[in-house]
Amino acid sequence: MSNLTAGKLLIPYSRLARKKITKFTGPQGRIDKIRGIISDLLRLERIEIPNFVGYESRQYAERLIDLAKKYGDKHEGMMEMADYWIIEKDLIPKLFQVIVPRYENKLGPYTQVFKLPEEYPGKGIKNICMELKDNALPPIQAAMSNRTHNNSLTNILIDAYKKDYKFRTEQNKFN
Amino acid sequence: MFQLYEKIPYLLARQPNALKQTIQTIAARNYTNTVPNRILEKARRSKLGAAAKGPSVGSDERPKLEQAEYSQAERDYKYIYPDFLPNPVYYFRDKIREKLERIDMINRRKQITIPEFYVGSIMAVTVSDPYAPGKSNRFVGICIRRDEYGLKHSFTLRNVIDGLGVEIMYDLYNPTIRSIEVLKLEKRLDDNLSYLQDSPPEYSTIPFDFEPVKLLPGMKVPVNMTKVPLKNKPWRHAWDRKALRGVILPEIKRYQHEEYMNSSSDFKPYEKWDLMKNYRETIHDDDHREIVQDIKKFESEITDKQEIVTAAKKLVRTRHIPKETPSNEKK
Amino acid sequence: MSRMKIVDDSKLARDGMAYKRAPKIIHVYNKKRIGSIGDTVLLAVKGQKQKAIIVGCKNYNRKGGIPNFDTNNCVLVDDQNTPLGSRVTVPIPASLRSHPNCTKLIALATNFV
Repeated sequence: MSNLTAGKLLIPYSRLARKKITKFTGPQGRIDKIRGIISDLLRLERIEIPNFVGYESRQYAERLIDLAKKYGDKHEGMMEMADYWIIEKDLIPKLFQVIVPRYENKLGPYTQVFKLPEEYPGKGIKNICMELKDNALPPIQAAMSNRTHNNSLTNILIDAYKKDYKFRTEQNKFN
Repeated sequence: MFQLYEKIPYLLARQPNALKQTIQTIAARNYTNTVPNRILEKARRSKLGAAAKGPSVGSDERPKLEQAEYSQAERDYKYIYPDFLPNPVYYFRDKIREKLERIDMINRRKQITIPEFYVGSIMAVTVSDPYAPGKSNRFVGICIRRDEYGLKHSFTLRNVIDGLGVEIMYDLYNPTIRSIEVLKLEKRLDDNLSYLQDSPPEYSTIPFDFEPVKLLPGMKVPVNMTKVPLKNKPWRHAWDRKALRGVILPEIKRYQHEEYMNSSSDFKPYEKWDLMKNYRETIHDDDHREIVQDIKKFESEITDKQEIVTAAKKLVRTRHIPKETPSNEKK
Repeated sequence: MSRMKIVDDSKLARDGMAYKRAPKIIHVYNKKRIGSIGDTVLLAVKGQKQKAIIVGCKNYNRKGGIPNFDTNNCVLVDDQNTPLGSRVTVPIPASLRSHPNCTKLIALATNFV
């Protein structure tokens, strides 16, 4: 067990034990899967993944950035840790030179999660969109505030009822 | 292959070199890489092969106790006062109880000096015993392990007396303890030295008149790098499954050893990198900050007390001097 | 039926330890039926029954200050708790000094831990 420690995690996580992600590959396969997701997240800064995988790998990404903030790129144990978790090695300088200075004055969680709608008709898989905060991509939250709800079922029914009501009142005037 | 047999007389006549090449390639392809396992095992067991086996599989050489190598370890509050750390499992935790326990521990530490010690350091403990002739009992030994959190914190000492291994567990905050001395401050390669039970007795024998070894002030803690050979089975626990650093395992067949290590459930190399497992099993910095504040306050109080005591001693000395001087004047 | 090591100077102890079968506990004179330090015990030694007192245990004791040893030790004893031998060869726990069964046994011991 490594001696690296950092502050409190500010995201929800299971306090008792890890959650199962993989079916057949065991604990080693589980960690390999998370390693791939972390290097994806560092490169693309916004990814779509299934719900249960995303929340589990989010803890590891959050923790890695926390440690990188504390120890820097000249600590031996920290560099070994970064070398293990980041598979694509050109992303190691990005972690220390781009992402750590970005969150230098921030305490809180460095990642954001948005729930995505289920596909219909589909298999009922719940996906999430996970991203690093303060990235250069167009923001999701603004798009969510501007979106219209005209096509939702309740609004369509209400509109139809309005039309119906108008039509009836006009008919009553004539009668 | 059998097309080649038909071609042999033709090739011998026309191209003898080409035939040689084809035979060599076939031989290289099929037979050079496959040696049956039992022949290899014979070679491994032979005297020449024994040198290449390496220390973990088995060797007759035992490290001499006098020529131990040393490296150095850093000092941190987490390692000096491990008893102040609460239990990291969250449903065992209670912040009020932890605070109350810390007050009790500090009050006890003001009564007797509990020094800094680690697993592997040589210690002496004297306990008050009403039935003993001197009303006290002294025991010397190596610290094997440190258990429990908070007020329940305990440590065990091990020694071999009259050819019999003896282990005694002491509660650190037991009020019947009169004094705790550290005779030799050092660390070992592992955090738990329980495997000394299954090792030869010379590795855990310590004379009761062991002379204390002092470190220079400001020096880091030395780490003793000796590796302990284990006896043959049966053991008390399966030590070869624990991934220990300071152990030389007895000789077994190499293929058995590798299979055993790979199949065993305790051999988990990936756990070293598991960030969240580390986070769940240790205490994070924000919680640790409160504890360090209490410890620093306690340490500053003790240094103030020492200054007062030294100042008082000086005062006493100065008072004694004028009493002597008038007697000289009378002469 | 735990196997014991007799830590005694008597003739029966020497023969019993050299015998092909190790001495075993048959019965514990105790309400719990689980032996610990200071309990009297019935041993099967060399094909005969003999009383003994447990003098050291392997078992890890949570109570502080009480030692645990690498072997399970016992001393052969008469019906009146008088030991058969004249010497105890290994150290015995100091907490036995106050034990009512062991008053005669303590005079034979040389080392207390």
